Amino acid sequence: MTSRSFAQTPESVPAARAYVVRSLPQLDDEVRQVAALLVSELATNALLYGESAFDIAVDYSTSDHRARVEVRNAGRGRPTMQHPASTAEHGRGLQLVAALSASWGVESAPHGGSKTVWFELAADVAPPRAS
Amino acid sequence: MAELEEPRAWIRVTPNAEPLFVELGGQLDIASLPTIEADLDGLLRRDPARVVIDMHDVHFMDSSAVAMLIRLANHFGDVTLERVNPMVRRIVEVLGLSDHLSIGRGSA
Repeated sequence: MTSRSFAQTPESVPAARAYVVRSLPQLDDEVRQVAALLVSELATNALLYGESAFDIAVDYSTSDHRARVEVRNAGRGRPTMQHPASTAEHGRGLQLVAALSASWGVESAPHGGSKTVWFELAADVAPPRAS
Repeated sequence: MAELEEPRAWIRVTPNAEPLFVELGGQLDIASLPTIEADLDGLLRRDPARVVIDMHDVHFMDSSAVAMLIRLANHFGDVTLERVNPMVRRIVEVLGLSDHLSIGRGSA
């Protein structure tokens, strides 16, 4: 597992994508693009709703060929998935995470104050394409 | 550092085209979109019309860019995305936005 800290600034969003893409050379290009998209969503949420710099941890399991990306920051608010109308401008980040990851979730530290949002991607089996 | 050299967002509007022709390019996210905000505001002052957005040079976009495209679609009413890459198509389709943002035939 490798991890890196990112300042709570907009520039950290492209930097987070570049970090995750670099850290997951095992993935084929299509899955790596999904990883870049989903970490962009979580980093954007950390920027907008967090209360601190955020950490990103990346892990690749060679036994089950899964990549795991975690974004951890201080902030008590729990992200909630929204179901925006098609004309609503915002509220689609977690929808993308839920739709395009193999699994995802939110974990709060036992004593509160920080939370981790994570997702996993299967390296060899991309989620089904929309037709 | 390569990450500092990523292309920013850009937008080009062809005036007097019918339909209105807009080209978007770069990496469209919360860091880059503010750099084209003034041009977008100018675009949104135009009367509603049919709009074609050429996405050929969009190398990355996330839900921040989806928000911007929905804003354009809400204003103009008839927006077609042309030459989208497979990832952009997947984002539009997985979010169930294909009715609001049509994807043109010239797309991958």
